[in-house]
Amino acid sequence: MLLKIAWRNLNRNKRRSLLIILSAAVGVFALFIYDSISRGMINQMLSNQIDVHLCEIQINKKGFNDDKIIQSYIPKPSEIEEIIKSKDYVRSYSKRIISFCILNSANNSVSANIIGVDYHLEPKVTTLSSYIIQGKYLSGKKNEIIISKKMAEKLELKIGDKVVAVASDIEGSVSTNLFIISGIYRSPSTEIDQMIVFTNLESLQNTLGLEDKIHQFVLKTDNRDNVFESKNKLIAEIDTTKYEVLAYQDIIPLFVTMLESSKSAMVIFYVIIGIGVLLGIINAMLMSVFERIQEFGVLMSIGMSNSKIFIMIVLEAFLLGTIGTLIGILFAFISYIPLSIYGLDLSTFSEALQMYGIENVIYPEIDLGLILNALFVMPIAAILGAIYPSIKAIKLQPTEAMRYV
Amino acid sequence: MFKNESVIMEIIRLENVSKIYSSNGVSVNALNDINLSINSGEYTVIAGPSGSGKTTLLNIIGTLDKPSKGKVFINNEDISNKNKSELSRLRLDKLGFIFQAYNLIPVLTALENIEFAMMIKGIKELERREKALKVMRELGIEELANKRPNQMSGGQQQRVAVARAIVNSPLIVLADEPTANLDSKTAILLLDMMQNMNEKKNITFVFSSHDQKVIERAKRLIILKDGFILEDINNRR
Repeated sequence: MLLKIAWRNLNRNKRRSLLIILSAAVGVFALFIYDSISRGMINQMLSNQIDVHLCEIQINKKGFNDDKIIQSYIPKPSEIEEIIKSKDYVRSYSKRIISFCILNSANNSVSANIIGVDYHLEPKVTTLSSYIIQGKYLSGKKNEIIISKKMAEKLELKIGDKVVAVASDIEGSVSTNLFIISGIYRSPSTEIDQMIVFTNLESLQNTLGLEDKIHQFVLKTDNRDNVFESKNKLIAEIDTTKYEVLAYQDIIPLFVTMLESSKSAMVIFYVIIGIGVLLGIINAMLMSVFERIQEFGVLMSIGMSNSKIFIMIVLEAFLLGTIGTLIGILFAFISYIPLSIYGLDLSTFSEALQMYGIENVIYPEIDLGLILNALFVMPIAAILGAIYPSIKAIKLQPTEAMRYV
Repeated sequence: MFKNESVIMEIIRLENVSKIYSSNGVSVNALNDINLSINSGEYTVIAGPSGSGKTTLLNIIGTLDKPSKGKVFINNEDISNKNKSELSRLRLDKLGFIFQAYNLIPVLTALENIEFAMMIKGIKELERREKALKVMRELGIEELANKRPNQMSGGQQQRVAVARAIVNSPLIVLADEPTANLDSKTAILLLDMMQNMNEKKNITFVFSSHDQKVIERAKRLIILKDGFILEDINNRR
């Protein structure tokens, strides 16, 4: 019956109740949309880093990640390859040669990391092939090279043009080779676009005198969330005195920490919205209590205990917060469904987004924790907001309250 | 609901009760050294001019206010040292109230208002609905069951308030100026109803009123003036 009274009390001043419900609903809606877009953006940043280039797990000669010298190659790649192939949790893998070079065209020159990849295996572990905007991806032809649109503009090159790569070979001598532009890409990351060019593994092995040696295995596992588990299984079989097995978190620790921190920063957003709703509810409930002082006097006179009066007022606030939350979540879902299908097109901010490794279209992501947070934040804020007005109500003396006009 | 008790017992006893209100350094003696005993089955009216202390006395009997001096006994129990929560429980169990402004809960129907008094006592839904309907039938107000206070006349609201006051079978029903907001005809109907309850069911009533219609029906009339009992006339009818 207390719930019934609390519910009916909300109908006494419909406009005020509606305003509080709306403020809670808008709060939840904003929280939900902001969180899902941020989450989508953050996960996209991380996915782009991993999928375009880094991969989930890298196996190098020990120390290669810190100091990428050409001599740090894997001497017997077949031994490692056998281990990788035997693991059912490894979905795909590729082999790479990595070196620093200077690319020269007739008009300009740029420094870059040149990466020799297995043209057949690489598309199974990275998505770079899907970012080719001109020409085509590597096909295994000798000395073909893929460069970014930015580099192509700087070097004033187009598909079919030639570019000379100058690099240090295995002997420490300067080695040059002529490459033909077969594809131009535009990745979601400015960092990759500014620094990385791709060629065939064999072409780069020949250029650098590495024969069949490689610098790196990159792996894609069957579950990105369990990448550490997969890494540890590999460590159990690979001689870690000679090799390093790194998960993407080991390779870009600062980046991963930054992304995790930004998820934590959402708590601040929850608190700000919670405080906003809290103040609104305190105000509304205080008004509601002052309007009903006489009534509280009557309730006390007929023997209603303070605890029941307290619960009744808190219940009213709880209902306001809960209804607001449910409406907010409902509208957030209605907005989320088309956004999750078609994405949020932010191509106007394309350049800025690329700097952060984000694509033009962001797909919001919902997290169960977010829904639970939203379900609790507003009702809890509402309950907290009702405590002070409730205390005011129960401190009243019945006779004074009944005389109150 | 109420048994027609033949044994007369003391329900209320006030010993040397005084009440002083202080405001901005000015003290007003609302009640002065009142000694009073009210027995079961009485139909008492506390009368007197405005400011004589009628409502203060009724509030003290009803434990809504505390005396500045003296002791109040309800059912032979001294209530001086009871806390707020104990007094709430005592009011719930032993006292019924009827107010001048009816004071029904506006968001509840008549039936729910009557049930409410039982709900806060912890009586289960089925039982309280049954009891509430029974009282409504007895008072002839069952047709008001689903009406909210704003859909009822003043007289109808006050009859519902009477039902709410008696539904928990209190030791005594305290009515503060119950006819003040009613027209004469409605007031007489209400008073008939309460007198009938007193005579047939031995329900104890204490009124505070300066309405002649109420005073005329009093078995016992206590006249207050300036906080003193001027007269205490028993066995008037």
